[in-house]
Formats: sequence, structure tokens, C-alpha cells
Amino acid sequence: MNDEAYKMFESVLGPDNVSRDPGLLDAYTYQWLGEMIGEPNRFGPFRPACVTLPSTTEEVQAIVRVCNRHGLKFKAHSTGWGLYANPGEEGVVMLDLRRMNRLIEINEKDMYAVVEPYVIWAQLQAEAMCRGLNCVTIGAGSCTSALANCTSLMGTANNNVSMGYNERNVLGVEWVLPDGEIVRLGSPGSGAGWISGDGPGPSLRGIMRGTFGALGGLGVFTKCAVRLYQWGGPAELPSENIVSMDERLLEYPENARLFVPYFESRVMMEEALARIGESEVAYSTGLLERGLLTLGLGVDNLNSAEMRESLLPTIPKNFFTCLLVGNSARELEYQTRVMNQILEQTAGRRFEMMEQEGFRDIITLFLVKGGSVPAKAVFSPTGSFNPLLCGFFGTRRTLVKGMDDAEEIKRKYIESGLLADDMAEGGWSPLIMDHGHMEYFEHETLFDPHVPESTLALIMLTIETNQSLADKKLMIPFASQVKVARAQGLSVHDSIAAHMNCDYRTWQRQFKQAFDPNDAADSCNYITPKPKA
Amino acid sequence: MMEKEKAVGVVGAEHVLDSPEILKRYSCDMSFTPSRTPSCVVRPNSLEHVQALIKLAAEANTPLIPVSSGEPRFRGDTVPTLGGVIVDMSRMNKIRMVDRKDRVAMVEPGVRFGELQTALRKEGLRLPTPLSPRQTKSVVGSCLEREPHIIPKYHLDHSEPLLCCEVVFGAGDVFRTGEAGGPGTIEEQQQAGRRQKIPMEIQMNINRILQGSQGTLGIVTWATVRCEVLPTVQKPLLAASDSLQQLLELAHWLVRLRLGDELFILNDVNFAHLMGTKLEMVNGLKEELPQWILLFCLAGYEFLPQERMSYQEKDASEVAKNVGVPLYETLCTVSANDVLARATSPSEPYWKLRWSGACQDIPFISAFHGVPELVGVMQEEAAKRKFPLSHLGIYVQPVCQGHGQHCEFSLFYDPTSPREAEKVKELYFAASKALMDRGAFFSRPYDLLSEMVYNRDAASREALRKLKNIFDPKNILNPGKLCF
Amino acid sequence: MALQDYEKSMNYCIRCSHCKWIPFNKIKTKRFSANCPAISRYNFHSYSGGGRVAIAQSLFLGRSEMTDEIRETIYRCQLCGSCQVACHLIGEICEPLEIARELRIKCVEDGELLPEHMLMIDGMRKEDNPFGEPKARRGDWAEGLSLKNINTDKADVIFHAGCRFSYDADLRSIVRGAATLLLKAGVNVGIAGKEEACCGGRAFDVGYRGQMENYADDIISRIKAAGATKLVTPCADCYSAFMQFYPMIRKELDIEILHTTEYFARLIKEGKLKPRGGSSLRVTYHDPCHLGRLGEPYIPWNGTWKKVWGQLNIPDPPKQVRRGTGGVYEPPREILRSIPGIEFVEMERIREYSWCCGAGGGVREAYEDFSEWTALERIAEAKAVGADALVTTCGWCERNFKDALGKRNDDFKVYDITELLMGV
Ligand SMILES: Cc1cc2nc3c(=O)[nH]c(=O)nc-3n(C[C@H](O)[C@H](O)[C@H](O)COP(=O)(O)OP(=O)(O)OC[C@H]3O[C@@H](n4cnc5c(N)ncnc54)[C@H](O)[C@@H]3O)c2cc1C
Ligand code: SF4
Ligand code: SF4
Repeated sequence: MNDEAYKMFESVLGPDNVSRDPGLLDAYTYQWLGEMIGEPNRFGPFRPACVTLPSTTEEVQAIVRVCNRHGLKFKAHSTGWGLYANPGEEGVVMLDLRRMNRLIEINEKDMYAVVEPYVIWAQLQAEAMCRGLNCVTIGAGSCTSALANCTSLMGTANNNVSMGYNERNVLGVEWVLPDGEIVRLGSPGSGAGWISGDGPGPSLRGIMRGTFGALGGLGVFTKCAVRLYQWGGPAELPSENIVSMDERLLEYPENARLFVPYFESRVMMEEALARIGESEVAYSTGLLERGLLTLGLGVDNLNSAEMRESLLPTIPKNFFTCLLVGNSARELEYQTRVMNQILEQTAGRRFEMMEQEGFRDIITLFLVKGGSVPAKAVFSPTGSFNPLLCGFFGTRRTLVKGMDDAEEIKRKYIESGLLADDMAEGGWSPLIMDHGHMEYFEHETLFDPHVPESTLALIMLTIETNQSLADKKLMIPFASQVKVARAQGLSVHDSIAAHMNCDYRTWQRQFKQAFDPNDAADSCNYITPKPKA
Repeated sequence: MMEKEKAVGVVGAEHVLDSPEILKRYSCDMSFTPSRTPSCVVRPNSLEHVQALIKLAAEANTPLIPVSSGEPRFRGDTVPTLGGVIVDMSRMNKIRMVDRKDRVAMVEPGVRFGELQTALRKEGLRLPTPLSPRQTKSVVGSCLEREPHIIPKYHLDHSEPLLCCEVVFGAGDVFRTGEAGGPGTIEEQQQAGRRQKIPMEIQMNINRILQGSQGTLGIVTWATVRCEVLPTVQKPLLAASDSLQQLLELAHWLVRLRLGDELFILNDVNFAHLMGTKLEMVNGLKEELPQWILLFCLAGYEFLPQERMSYQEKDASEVAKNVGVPLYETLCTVSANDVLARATSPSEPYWKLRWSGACQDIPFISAFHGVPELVGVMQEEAAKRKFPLSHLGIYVQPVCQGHGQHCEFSLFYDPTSPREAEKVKELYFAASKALMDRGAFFSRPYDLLSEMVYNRDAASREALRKLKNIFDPKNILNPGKLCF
Repeated sequence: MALQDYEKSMNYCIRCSHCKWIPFNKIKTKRFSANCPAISRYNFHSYSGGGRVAIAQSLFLGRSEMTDEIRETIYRCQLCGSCQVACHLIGEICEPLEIARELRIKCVEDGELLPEHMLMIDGMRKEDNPFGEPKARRGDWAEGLSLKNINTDKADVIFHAGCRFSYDADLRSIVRGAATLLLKAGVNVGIAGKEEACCGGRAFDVGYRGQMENYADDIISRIKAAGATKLVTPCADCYSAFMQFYPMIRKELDIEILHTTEYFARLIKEGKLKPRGGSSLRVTYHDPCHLGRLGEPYIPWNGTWKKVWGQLNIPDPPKQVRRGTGGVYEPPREILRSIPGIEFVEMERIREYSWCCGAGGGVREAYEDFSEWTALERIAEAKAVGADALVTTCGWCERNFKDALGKRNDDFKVYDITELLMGV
């Protein structure tokens, strides 16, 4: 890379915080899903030009300015998990934000925390819970960055039902734009604290993100306020043992109760969920379909294989988990009675095995904390997964359609033996968000990254599912589509816009042009300033 | 300037108005914004009308000022700064859809709260509403202004309750926000079971940009709004105290623990203005009431409503006891039921004007701990200018599920007295500045304050100008407002 | 083994960063949530367990070459194993710790050596200990104790002092104390004295596999000759070498191997040892990596991965998933709880996910500042839980803590559990 620029990075950051050693850079090339767009190994197609480790907003700004001056592309990441965090072309300068890891403030009365990029959910949650608060730890698990999720990614989580999706869980934001200017969204811009991210006037949050964020394509977020919510459980949930099914709560929280109901059909299941939503009793809800559950939750793969064999037949098909958390014993009692009434009305029955110690403990931890269980479930069996319908936001009449569709199409691929055989029942999702105002489903699909045919099967399956959704005029799930589009060398938005009633690319592209005049931010997962030839 | 005939060609002669009386009504409002007469008022009735008007305006470089609500208007945002054509959306007043199952309604900009509530009630739904809006207030207009409503637990975000909308940008393009953008046309989507509820696009959220833009970026032709289940039982309660801090504490815990639905705090003056039925009563209340009053309302829905009320009441009483404030069903002869009824329905005459001829509001957002201090700042500023505290209404509304407080000071005054009006104007500016200096966030900078606000945040101003340039490159939509 | 034996393993890192934190459900505060000294100190992803896997894969595929920077990265790591425990919460094929070690073996094979480590190996080659101290003085610590000499006498228990305890004068009272306690409990115990050799664990950690193999053979023959039933050591490093490394290189010891804490706890339970107790003290316990997660018995595997249920990978025959759960955690805690006057409080990072003392993996020898920094992190944690003293059961940990404290004139106390048993 350009020596002059590199020297400037060294002088800004100190030589210990910049590197262009090829081997070291390969640690920034190696990535989950590298196999999807490159060779059948984990290395993505592009190695960064160098890696920088800024520790302050000013340093980030300086790096971005140097990039603009020298015509270099840059991309920031927080913990850096997943293909989005890798360079989309040759010559990209990476900003690894690991040194920006301060939890600046927890405001208990306004219920938010101000964090830097490298504060992970697990840290934020631990600090929040001992103050009687909680945050929306996402389905990816606790190891991801709260800021990255809220500003640049998505925000689906089991507790979306009571605390909402993370697009709405961000308040003030500090943002180094792609040209190096700093803008502070909302109140911090006016020096009025972190309490709001909207205004003055039109809200720039609207450029920052939608259901998804810009995935590094619009500069660097350096601080943000993340909303916290009441947590009625204990300050800690002490447990013994560390892995999956082995983990046990030392004491089950007094004011929590786990329901695991199952139903005759998906339609009835959805009906029950909608009622749970409207009655506002649920704290956390989750689908963990039996194929995924058995393949993924064994303490090791042998145990999973065994669960798949002998446990699966005993698990009903249409079940979900629902955690009630009362702020008082009275509230829990009320919630319980409502749940019972809803189950009565919808002919729901309780799957007792999952409500008892063992499953109960890990599912409760999973519903409150996320932890490692989701990652264990999707990665341990085959080494890789990719969700179908990732980004499928539904409502009352569409959720079941999406679920049925994915299952039907996937079954064929399962039969080929090229994917993990979850019987096409690999769904994970919160199912309902905001007390039922949105519904959400994604279907995890486990493939082996080092069996090229397996990766290909995943790609073909995703393409077919998305096409089917589009044909049915249902939402095209962006996060599933973006990866297959990249695998095919297409622009994701070109592949989606064709199905839309107005061409949103026009506006997104203009944002890119206006805020990134030198096209410095790597937009392989966003939009290029000019249409692809 | 756009020729009248061309507008007539679009909407028909009866919907292009330019009689002096009518133009006068659009030339000013209750704010201190200098009046300026528009050249005409056009009343479109369809998306195509709006598109055609924007096209004409662009060709003729004519400012268009979109207006949805009826009079009286307050914020100066619809007073044409540079003249031009008023686009009055009130003819587009259809409720296009109410869907119980998905708890959503689709309305045109001319639909007002009263009509919508009636339609929703029939389906067992309700729309969280701002504190007793004036009868002429447009639902879409209110959403686009980011006006807070009075049910904090349903105020999921400042964008509430707006979901999707159809908009024609100043650039001329039609856009449908959120999931309304596709796949498929709206009809196809609805056939597929979709109800235009998901408010975000893939990597942007145009709603958020439109909200707070005061008609400067696009004209909205319909919107969907998030509705909630109509309670089957309700029990409103009042709490009162001379300590605002105490009521804030109570409000904090009630909102945080999701106890109760409607919840807001008023000072004695606002409470008297809202609830008084006769002048004597207003004055009497001002004298008798404690300084601060909080209303919250317990509710039960479809499932075990009485049980819900019962546990909520017990838990809420415990909270109140911990905070040290008693709860009342009636306070100084005013029943909580009446307060709830008043707060949740549109008022005619508008309660802010009923007992004084005019009112200048100062709305802003504050952090929890800032509220008492900012009230103090306002009172100091008022005292400095000898503005009587008995004319200072204060409204504190927890927003965003308790993540912030909307505060609104209302300066009630007699507009027929030029001296009083001048004094209020001075106070308005001075107090706003003092409040900003002490941490009040003016998230909705109306007309005269916008310069002061944007001077504090030059970076946002720059960014917004870029957006303006994208959505309305010819600056035809409501020019002179905000920072463009 | 060599890198190519980890070909599959190197492909299954998912780049998730679990290897940078203690298990998430165990995090109590942000301050003490990290688990890996290397990434915590040096920040580039390449320093984490996952980063090491990527480096290994890159070198293996010939995508990059060894450079000074990569060599530094490889050696700035205590091989404490915390990354692997965390990693195995979400998978089992990827083995960052083993791969990190293989990288060193590769360095040695390629002649990419660190001078400090060469010095240590020289010491071993000449005097059978990493300090280069005279072999003849190895048994000096036991002078005056009536311990049997297993070179000439039969004993039921072989007491293996280890290099650190044999030569570190500051720690002498601990090793003598441990032996004394055994004698008092009536144990028939002997030592090899000056014939005792290094376990070789430290050599293996810095990449000299062959060096350790020699020592393993030596110990195996000694055990045979002594006819003992137990091998007891106060040194966590030696314990780990016997439990983990020897089986890894297929040199299993055919004898019950116990760390002194295990044996003491057993003797206390049997009523043969009565903790004396001293003044009242609030203490916390540092799980040495080598006694805890790295003390977990290693079960060799020489199988293949098979597919069932489509693409589910299972090992054939069954394979141990190393999560450290089989390490020694309870005995030291039982001992502490049994000592009158001791109030025992836990730190945040304990058991399988305890934070390293900083001494391991050749870091103490080659990167003193990093080693010290790591120790001070642990001491800060001990202080944060309000402890008056930090108790450990490994001479290397104790030495490292003491040195780090000493440099700062900090008089925070560090004890070996044996000292508490004897009453301090
Ligand atoms: C296995 C897996 C499962 C997932 N499941 C879920 C889920 O259930 N729900 C959900 O909401 N999300 C999920 N995600 C996505 C998740 O949102 C992100 O991985 C995570 O929130 C972001 O944290 P990170 O530290 O990993 O981000 P990174 O990988 O560091 O970054 C992700 C993207 O954001 C950009 N970015 C990160 N930080 C910044 C910054 N400071 N400034 C500008 N751009 C930045 C990066 O360039 C990159 O494009 C999943 C991801 C994985 C890998
Ligand atoms: S080594 Fe393990 S824990 Fe670390 S990133 Fe790789 S898979 Fe995750
Ligand atoms: S062995 Fe220890 S120091 Fe080395 S990478 Fe793993 S956790 Fe970090």
C-alpha cells in the first residue's frame, strides 16, 4: 500500500497499532462465510491493505481523512464477525475498533448506556442487570458489539417482543462520516446529552440505517446510546458448568416462568403468539425448531447426533418458548393466568420436558442472555450456517406463509444430503416483536464450508427461497440475499429493486454520493455511488 | 410563479382558491412568524394531483407549502416564508383501511383524530393520541411532526405511531416507505396479506427523514399508523404534589414497570386550562390545585381485564407509596375519569385557546434529571420579564417508553394586547435560548427558532442540506423553513 | 503431530471471538470479562485464539511467510488455553490452543527461535532445568527432611518437586512444607533428589517437543523402578505436563498422578491431615491454568470425522472435547474452606475460565513486561473482590505474582495453599 499513507497511520496511532504484515492481515481475511464468495476455505477473496487500531474518535477521523486524501478505501469493524466485516475489494484499510471499548455511561433514570464500538452485549448486559435493567442481546449471542448492531446491522433477538428491534433502540450517535466530518445525531449534536437521536428537524437516523445498517459503507460510528429496559429478575443469574445442556442455574429466578407450548398447526401457533403479543405478557419468546434444537444443543456433536435420533421423535413440531418475567409476584401470576387462557383458546399444550430443569435452565438463559447457545446450535454441527429468510419481517398474515415456504423448498435440498438434516425444521427467531406488531422468522441452514457441494446447495436453496418470496409479493430477506448476490457477483440491490414498486436505489445511491464524495467507505454490502455496469 | 390556470387544470377550478379572505387565513398563524400571503391555495385529491402540482411548481420555481391540519395553526411551519402556493391536503380525507388483526390503519392526510378514533373504536382499536389535540389536527400531520402521544409504553420511538407512507418528493418521484415499497404494488401486497406495517426500508428509513421536515422534502399522500387494542376496562388515577421531582419519580417507575397506559404530568395552570369548564373554575383550580398533577390510567384488554387492573393497581399503589404520593380518583372536584376523557379526545375549542386568546408553546426534549432544572430556567426567565406564572402552562410527557421527557411550556396570553404579545415574543426567544444553554434539546425547531437551533449543530445542518438537495433539489417545498 | 494434522481444525474457526472472553453467562463486570492476555494486551485479532488459527492456516496454505511480526505474535501468548475453553462452547473441531502450540513447533523446526528460549533449552540440555542451575543441587530443598530416595528405596508415593520449587529459594518453605505435611499424614513418600529431571512441559510449550519426549522417558523409567502407586507434585506445570502433554505425545504414565492439593484434600477428608489455621484472612484463589483447564487429563484420539444426518460432523471413534472441565478445581477450594480463620471469596474469572498469571508459554522468559502486565491484571481482580491475599498452588504463578508486585513495591500478599495449611 501507499507508503506515505502508511507512515501517516503510524504517526497518528503509533507503530504498534498499525500493521501490514501479510500473515497478520490474513487474520483479517479469514472469515465465517469466506467459503461462500471465495475458495472453499475461510479466506475471503480480499486481504486488507493494512489494519489500524484507533482508540479515539479523533484517531478514527484522522485515518478516514488520510484515506480520502490518498484515494484509499476503508472499512471499520467492531468485533468483526461475519463477511460484512471483511474488505469488499483489494486495497482496503481496516479500522479494527477493538481499542474503542469504553462503556462511557449508564444512565439509570433515562435507561440508556453510552458505548463505544467494542463493548459487547454480554458486558453491557452484565452491567445493566445489576442495575435492574437489560438490553436487547441479539440472537447472534453475547459476543457481538452493541454499537455495531444498533448502528450498522440489525437487532433481532428473543426479547424483541418486550424491548423491540434494535433499529429503534439507539438514541444519540457519534458518527465519523466517510469524508471525515463528524456528525452527532440528535441531542448530542446540540450538546444536550444522549437522550435522543432524532433531529433537530429531519432525523439523520434515516440515513444511518433501516431494517439493516450500512454495513460499513457509510463511515464509522464511534459512540452511541443504547436503550435499556426494566429487568425484573435478579442482578445475576449464577449458573454452574459452562456448556450448552450442561449449564444449570443455581437458582431459578422467582419471578420468571417458562412456558413451552405446542400446537396442532402453525396457524394456531401464530394465533397464540398474536394473542400473547396483544396481552403484553411476554418478556422473551423464541422459536427453536426441533431439527435445529436436536442437531445443535448436544454437549458435543455425538450427543447431538444421538438427540437427533432419539429425542427428535418425542418433540412436537409446532412449539415455541416463552419466558414471563413479572416485576412483582402479582404480575407473574397474572401473566401466567393469561398464558393459560390463551393456550386454552388456541388448543395449545405444554411441552413439559422443556419446562423442566435442564432444558428449562438453558432455554431461560438463552431467552434472557443469548450467551453461546445460538452460536453453538448453528456452528457446531457442520462448521457453518446461513439463515434463509434473514430479514424476513412479517405480520399476521405472512409469517406462516414464509415459514411454510422455506420449509417446503428446503426439504428437497435436505434430501440431497448436502445440508445438515434438520428435517427442514431449522427455524430460530423471536417470532413476535413489539408485542406482536411485527413478526419475524428466519430459518437456519447448516452446511459444511469445506464440502463445496454443500456450500453450493446452500446458495441454490437461498436463491430459490428468495425468488419464491418475491413471487408471492412477500419481503425479500436482505441478509440472505446479499450473500448469494455477492457469491454470484451481483449487486444485491439490483437483484431486489426489480421487485419493488419504486426504485429505492436512487435515494440510497444519492446518500452515498452526498456523504461519501470520494467513495472512500467500502460499500460492498451497501451501494456503490454509480450503478454497476 | 406557477400559473393559476395550470393548477386549475390539475385539480379543477373549485379547488384553487385565491379569495383574499381565504389567502389571509393561510398567511399567518398563532405564532410570531411574520405573515406572508400565498398566491393561492390548491386542494389536491389524489397522488396524481400532488405529483402534477410538484411538477408544475418545479417548472415554475414556485414554493409549495403543504398543509394538512385545519386552523388554528400554531408553529409557523405552514406560513409561507417566501410566498407561493399552499397545498391543502384536507380533501384527501379517506380512511383507507382499518385492520383489527394487524392493529393498523391507513389514512390520508386530511383525516383527523376524531374521525379515525371513531372508526377504530368500531373495530376494537385505538390510536394513541397527543394530549387533547385540536379538532382540526391531521393524524398524518401530527405523525410527521413527531408529536408525542400520551401513552408512553406505546411510544416505542419518536417516530410513533407512523409506519409506512406514500410520499412525493420535491424531486418529483413517488416513494413508498418501509415495506410499502414492495415487492409488489400495494394491492398485490394486501392480497398477499401484507398491511404496510414494517416502517423501515432495507438500509435506510425514509420516514425518519420525512418526520420533522415540516413539508420541506416531500408531500405525503397516505400513511399507515400503529393502533392498539381498545381497553375493555379503564381506571384513571391522579397523583398530585408540589414537588415535580416526586411526580417525575412516580412517572419513571410507572412507565418503567409498564403500569398504566396514558400517563402525563401537567402543572396547575395547564390542568386548569384543560379541565376548566368555566372561567371561575379555571381560576379556582389554579388556586386550589397542588402545583403538579399526574394522570395515569390502568387498563384491561381482552384477557382477564379485571385481573390486570387489579394487579396493576396494587403494584402502582406500592410504587406511589414508595415515592410518597397519594393517588386520587378525584382531585379538587375534577374526576380522573373526566381528565382521561378530555385528554384522549380532540378539543373544540382547543383547550389551549379556550381561556386565553393565544398561546405560544416551547416544546423540547430533556433527560430525566434536567426537567426540574429547565422548569426553573423557564420560571426565572418568565419572572425576569414579569410574565405571570399563572399564565405559564407546563406539560411533561415521558416519551419513548421512558427514554426521555418531552416538555412543553405554554405561554398563555391575550393577543389583542400588542404589548403583551411583544413581551411574550421576547420571552419566547430568551427562554428558548436559556433552555438550550442548559441542555434542552429542541428536536423540532419551528420557524423562528430554527436558526438558533442549527447554529448549535452545524454538522447536522450541513448533512440536512445535503438531504434537501437530494429530495428537493429545486427547493420548492416550503422554502425558508428549517435550515434551507 | 504437525500443522497438517490440524488441517481440518484450521478450517473450522468461525471467527466468532468467543476466544476473547470468559463464557458469557459468567461475566459479572465488564472490567473482568476478558479471558485472553494476548489479545487483551496487543489488540490485533491475530493475537487471539482465532487469529492464531488464521495465521496457521495462512502459513500452511503458503499464503504468507514467517516474519518477525508473526513470530512475535506466535510467542506472545501464554498458551494458557483459555481461548480453547471458550471456543469449545460453540464447536469442537477447531482447536486454537493446539494450533497455537503447533505454530511454535513449526517455528522451532524452521529455526525461528527466540534467544531467551534458546537459553532456557540450553539450561535443560545441560542441567535438566530451564534455569541452567546445577543439577547436583536439585535435591537441596529436601535437606533435613526424612524423605526416602526413590533411586534406592521403594516408596508408595513419588514426590516430584519440579524445577521451580527445587531451585527458587523464596519458595522453599512451600515445597518443604508440602513434603512435611505428607510425612505427617503418614504417607510413605520418596523423592528422586538430584536425579529428578524437568518434566519438559516448558520446553514443549516453546516448541521443543523432542526435549520433552526425553524427560517423559526418564520419568517413566523412574516410576517403574520405584514401584510407587502415586506421583504427587506441588507444581501445576508438572502436573499439566503429566496429565496433558505426555498422553498427547503418547507417553502416558502408568501411575495415579496427583497434585498436592488433591492429595491434601483427600487426606483432610480421611482425617489424616488437620489444617492448622492461623490468623483470620480473607483470601481468594487463583486457579493456575496448568492445574485447572490444562490439568484436564488428555485422551489421545486417532480417528476420523464422519458424516451423519447429512452434513453433521462426528468423530469416529468418540473424541474428547477439551473444555477444561476435568481440571482440578474443587480440592483447593475444599482445603481453603477447611482452614480455620480463612474466609474464602471467589474472583470473577475462575475454574475453567480463570485468567492466567502470565508466566506460561515462555512469555515470562521472553516478554517480561507482558508477563508482568498479565499478573497485575489478576492481582487487580483479587483486590477488586476485597481479598487480603491471593492464594495459588503453582510455583510459577506465585513467582510471577510476587515479581510483579515486588517491582511496584506493592505488599499485597500471595500465598501457596500449602502455606495456609501450615498456618501463616
Ligand atoms: C452467527 C451470527 C448470527 C447473527 N445473528 C444475528 C441475530 O440474531 N440478530 C441480529 O440482530 N444480528 C445477528 N447477526 C449480525 C449481528 O448483528 C452482528 O454480527 C453484530 O451485531 C455486530 O457486531 P460485530 O461486532 O460482529 O460487528 P462487525 O462484524 O464488527 O461489523 C458488522 C458490520 O458493521 C460494520 N460496522 C461495525 N462496527 C462499525 C462501526 N463502528 N462503524 C461503522 N461500521 C461498523 C462493519 O463494517 C460490518 O459491515 C448475526 C451475526 C452472526 C455472525
Ligand atoms: S478460535 Fe474458536 S472461539 Fe476463537 S474465533 Fe475461532 S471459532 Fe471462535
Ligand atoms: S492460549 Fe491464552 S494467551 Fe494464548 S491465545 Fe489462547 S487465551 Fe490467549
